[in-house]
Amino acid sequence: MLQLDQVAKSYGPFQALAGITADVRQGVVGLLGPNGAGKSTLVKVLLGLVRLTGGGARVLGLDVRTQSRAIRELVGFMPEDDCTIAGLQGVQSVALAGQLAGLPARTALRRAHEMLDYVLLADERYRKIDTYSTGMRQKVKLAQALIHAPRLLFLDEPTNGLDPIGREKMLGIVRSLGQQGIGVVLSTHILADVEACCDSAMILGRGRLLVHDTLEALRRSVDPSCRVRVAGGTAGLAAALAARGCQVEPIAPEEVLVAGDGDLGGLVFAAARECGVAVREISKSRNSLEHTFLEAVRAGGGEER
Amino acid sequence: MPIAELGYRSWQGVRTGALVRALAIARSEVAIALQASKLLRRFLILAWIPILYFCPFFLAIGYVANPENDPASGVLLTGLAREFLGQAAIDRLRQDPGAILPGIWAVAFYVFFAYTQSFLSMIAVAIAGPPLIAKDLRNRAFLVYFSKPIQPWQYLLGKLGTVAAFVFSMTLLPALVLYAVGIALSPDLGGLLATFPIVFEIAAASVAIAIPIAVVVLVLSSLTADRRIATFGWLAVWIFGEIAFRALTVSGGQPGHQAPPWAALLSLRELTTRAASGIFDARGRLELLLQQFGESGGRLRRTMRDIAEGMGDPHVLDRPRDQVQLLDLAGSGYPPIVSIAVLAAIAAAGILFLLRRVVRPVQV
Repeated sequence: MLQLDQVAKSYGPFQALAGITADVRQGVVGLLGPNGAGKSTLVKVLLGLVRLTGGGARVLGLDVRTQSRAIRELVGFMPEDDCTIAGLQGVQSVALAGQLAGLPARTALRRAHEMLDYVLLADERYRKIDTYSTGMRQKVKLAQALIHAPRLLFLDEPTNGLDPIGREKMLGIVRSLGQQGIGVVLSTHILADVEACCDSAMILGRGRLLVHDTLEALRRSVDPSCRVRVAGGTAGLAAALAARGCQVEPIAPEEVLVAGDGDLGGLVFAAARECGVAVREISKSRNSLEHTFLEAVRAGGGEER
Repeated sequence: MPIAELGYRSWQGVRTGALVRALAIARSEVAIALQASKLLRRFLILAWIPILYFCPFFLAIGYVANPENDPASGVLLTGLAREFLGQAAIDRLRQDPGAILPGIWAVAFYVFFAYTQSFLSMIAVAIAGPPLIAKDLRNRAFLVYFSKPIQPWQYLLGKLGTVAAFVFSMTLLPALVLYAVGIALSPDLGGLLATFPIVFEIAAASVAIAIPIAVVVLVLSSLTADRRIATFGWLAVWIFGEIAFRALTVSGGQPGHQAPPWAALLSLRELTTRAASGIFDARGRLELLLQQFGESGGRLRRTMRDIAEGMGDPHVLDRPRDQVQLLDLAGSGYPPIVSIAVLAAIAAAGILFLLRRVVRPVQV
């Protein structure tokens, strides 16, 4: 789906992308990173909107340097920016996007209605887009990105400004698109969005690719342990857990680190019941996705490009 | 979970070409402008009113030019023709309509373009043009366009087409209707054959007015995200330019006075008017008509005097006919082709500027 080879982009002395190399297979891919990591720049580079300053990239087998127009025929893009054509109704706006992508006028109007049905925008489609709420605008932008039946979809922060129900619906749509064989690149700084609907994830930090792996692999714990905080001393609990084959390491007067195979939570509760201590908190150790993302956030910062 | 859901449906079909996509932008922008401004809609209607003045002219000329019509029986039309041309011109016209009609028509269309339609076009452009790119800058709409397979030239063509559509609806369309009226009232098919090149002149004059105006207003629109500032810029270019030009040429009432050669460059409307003059060959045809109808009276003669004043030579009709040498429309020695060249240069420079300008917001 995407082949990136030392992709680099600089704005003067500032390096937005610093040699990203990746081979992204078909599916729903999360492009994760804090604000300023270079996600939007990477998406614009892949659309051919921004020129590379180094390296090369192919999207659906097409070169971004020389075939950007052909790429945009096959790709849909939902920008993060609140960009609209003022004065048009929602349905007119989506139909115009279709015509820009080469659909005949009548087909574009028919398909605009189909797409607005799909993204669940009802009669509001006949209102001027200038009067829309953020959620409605997000739906219109998604419909605009989908109208020409793209093979690959770039979604830049699609859940920005959505309420929890709107967010859930948006992620549901992303999941369903992925199930129908449309490649999706979901650019976001929200980890939960990636965990909710992606098959794999790329984590960017300061213009570099920190991690690229399947979500299944990234969800594995860095180490199979959990922290347990109890009331009433840890000595008895440690002994009971050791008897169950766990390694226990005291890390505070009322807190231990427990490692072992199997259902650690169940083992901890059984041991606590046996020795009569109250469990106040059990927290799983972070998996590599969270770990890398948080590291990237800590190292990152600055504004989104 | 729904029991049955239609879900996402793909689409396969033949895609339209590059020009159709640019046309979609123009059509959408025309619809937006018409919906947004009642004033613009009124001006579009107003632009057809001058036809009401010119129709009786063509009706009367067509009537008297037909040798089969008896001037005595059509008193009203003959009277109108006499008012327009004078009796000597009518007699000359009846003798050889094929030789005289094209000249009269071309001058009439030049007057139609230069005196009313170019002025109305400037107003319509002042309403419809300034928001075209400014609102895209304000609403960051460039990504909507350029995330689709649209090239900067297609975007610009769509925007230029929007302005051109309004200008054409005030120049090309009424002029073609006027021409059709004139043909319908012609004595025979010979009139059609003799005047057919005027259709191309009408089209060329419309383009000469529309394109430079559209480019200038789009350049102004691309410089700001606030359409009011762009509108002010357009009015400044038009009105202050016009005032400056008039100030330099107003002393043309003195015999032999010539405005400075660069005076017309100050006024965009003057440049477009002079370009139209060149396209209709108003100078050559006026000279011919003056020689044909020199002794004649009528409104045509007065119109010619008006035009001559505009050219900076108001005394031209008072000179002996063999000394008639109209100054060209520059009023100071350079031919109308220079105005066309200047407008072409303005349009080319503006388009190059816009092509660079419109891709910049996307690249950041």
